[in-house]
Amino acid sequence: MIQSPNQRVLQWATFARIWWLYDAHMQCPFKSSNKIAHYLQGKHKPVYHPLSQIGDHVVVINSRHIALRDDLWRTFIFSSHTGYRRGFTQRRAWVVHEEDPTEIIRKSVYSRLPGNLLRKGHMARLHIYPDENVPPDILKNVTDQLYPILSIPKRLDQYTEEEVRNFPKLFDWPEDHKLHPGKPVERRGKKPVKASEENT
Amino acid sequence: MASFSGMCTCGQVLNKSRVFLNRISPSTVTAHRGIHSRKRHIKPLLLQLYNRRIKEGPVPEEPRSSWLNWNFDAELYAFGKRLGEEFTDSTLKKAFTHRSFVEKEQSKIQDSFEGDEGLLDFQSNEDLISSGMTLISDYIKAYLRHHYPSFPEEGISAVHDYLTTDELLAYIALNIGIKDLILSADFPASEETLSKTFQAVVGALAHDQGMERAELFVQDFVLTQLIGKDINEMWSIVNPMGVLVNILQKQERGGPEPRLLFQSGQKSILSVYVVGIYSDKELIGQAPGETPTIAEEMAAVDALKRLFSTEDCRTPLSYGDKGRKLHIDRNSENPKLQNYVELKEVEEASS
Amino acid sequence: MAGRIPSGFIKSALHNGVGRYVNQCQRITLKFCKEHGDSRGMRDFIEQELLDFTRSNPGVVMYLQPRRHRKPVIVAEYLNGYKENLYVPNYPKDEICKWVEHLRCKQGMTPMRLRKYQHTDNPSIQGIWNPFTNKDPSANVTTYPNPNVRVSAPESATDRLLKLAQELREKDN
Repeated sequence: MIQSPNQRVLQWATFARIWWLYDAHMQCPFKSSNKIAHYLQGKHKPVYHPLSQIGDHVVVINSRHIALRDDLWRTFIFSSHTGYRRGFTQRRAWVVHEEDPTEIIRKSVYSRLPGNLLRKGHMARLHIYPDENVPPDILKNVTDQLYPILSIPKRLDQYTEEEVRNFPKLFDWPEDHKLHPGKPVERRGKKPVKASEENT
Repeated sequence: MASFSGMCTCGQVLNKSRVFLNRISPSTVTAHRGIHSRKRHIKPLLLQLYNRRIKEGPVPEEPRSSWLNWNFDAELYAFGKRLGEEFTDSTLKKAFTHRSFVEKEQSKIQDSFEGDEGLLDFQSNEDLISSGMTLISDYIKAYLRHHYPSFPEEGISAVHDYLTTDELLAYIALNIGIKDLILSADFPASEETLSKTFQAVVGALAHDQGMERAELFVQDFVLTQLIGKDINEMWSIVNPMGVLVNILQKQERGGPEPRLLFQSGQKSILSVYVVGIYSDKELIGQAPGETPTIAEEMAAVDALKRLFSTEDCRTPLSYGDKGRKLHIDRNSENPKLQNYVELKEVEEASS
Repeated sequence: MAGRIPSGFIKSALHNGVGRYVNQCQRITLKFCKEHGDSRGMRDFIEQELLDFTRSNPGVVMYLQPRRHRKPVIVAEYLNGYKENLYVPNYPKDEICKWVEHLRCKQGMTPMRLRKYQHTDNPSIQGIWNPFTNKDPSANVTTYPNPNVRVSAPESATDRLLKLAQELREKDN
């Protein structure tokens, strides 16, 4: 069927790929990758169909600055098997992240995409950069930005000194009150700090 | 048991091949059938027959009127009743009779009776064809002008030309059962013959029932073919931006200003741009495109569509009950693209 | 490809019914035997029902075709050229009435699997969807990454405390 120019451009626009930017700064990679995988498959479009490749591009920046809750940097384990004998390896999240700061997001997005022949194509449309240095050719394609998953809390060091000083003092410690020294934290390669030293 | 099953297979083969065997050599059917014998001549024979049949090609189509169950008068009567129209038998018969058929019959009679022409009472449908075509043509144009008063006359003609092609009229003729009733020398009837017959039927209706009935017939069968079609596709404007500039200039509105509304993937091969055209800071048209240039041109086309009130969200044409209540002004004519601008000025001045 | 049913979309011939309704069955031929038992119902139909049927449906041409010792058949022909044979041996009259009515009402489309049960020719008013439908064009002049795209946190305990302190300070002054 021969299309008229008008029909052609309408179809072109309907199936056009949008380039989304996603700022992973202080975001949970696992929750973020649910959203990223949704957009990579094009599930946000009313014309979505599982057999047609109409997914969008997602450019993830600041993947070095992702945040994991609790002790997950230490306890979350990425496993892989080469398929050969004794090929099974396990690495902790902080090791993986140290080796390649884009790897955690890539792996978690990959695991959230359906395991069919389209997965490779979907992954090709995911562009991850460890910081804000994105090649200009990629950044020029970007049309819109995805909203992040989590709100970013303000850290103590981000408050000015004046703000800290002016923070309302709710109560005074009694004169004879002794702060509980707490259990000293054992860190790898670091000596446990004594409570008396900490207080001074 | 074994012999019984052997008999069965032979019988099945014979049953399947009955058609061929009866026609070509019936003696093979009655050949002696031994208990254990397998008729080894049957397979090559069937193969031979099959190949002959393939070589001969498809069976030529035979006219429906050559069948045993065919009554021309009954068919004519049912034709009118089916379409909900009251035809006179003689007029309808005339509408289906082509000149080529009359000539063929005349020559037949001349050959057999040496010039006795008294038996022939066929009239050919030429006058009905011409009157029908004029009616179809006039009504289509008036109907379209009524529904698209701002659409230029060139566009109206383009849509009219689409609706009156032999191809489309033949398609309609096929689907209202004209094909079997045609009396013409050519068989199977060509597109031209079918189309001409349809025109003659409309002419016959106008002759029997009056113009109004015939026009409603055209509305119901010809104009409904516009459903699902885009009339803007039937008429392409050369240099839409130039036309738009001229029209806006003559209407004393601000010139068209194209602006990029959206873009995505500029540095990829799948880039898309959406361009909007503004006049006096008002969006008058927008369209996507692979490049900004294409998008701009398509946006100009879109702006023209809106100016001509033929955009995609236009109201549908009136058919059925709505179509029966139309009051169409026959004398009005839409502005032509050249002097479209001048007439608009006149309208504004009068209002 | 035996067993593969052709598929298609729902369609009516010539947009039938938009302008006027035209019954698509153009002729029915009843083939029957005058003496055989399995044409009994067909003969009853012809004797008792046929005239009423033709009177109420003048647009359908009826043909009767007696043939010796063959099964009775109803052959219906449609405007689009489709033809359907229905063999009705030993059918009672009532059932033949129903089958004839069924064949009269059919549209004459080649039997097919419908991919969808609805169809529209009219484009929607807002046009075909594209990624820019209902989107704010300000996105086109924004520089990315855009710091304004962020999730606003719900009011925290710290915020409420600061607000309370501010109010108290104002009261003191």
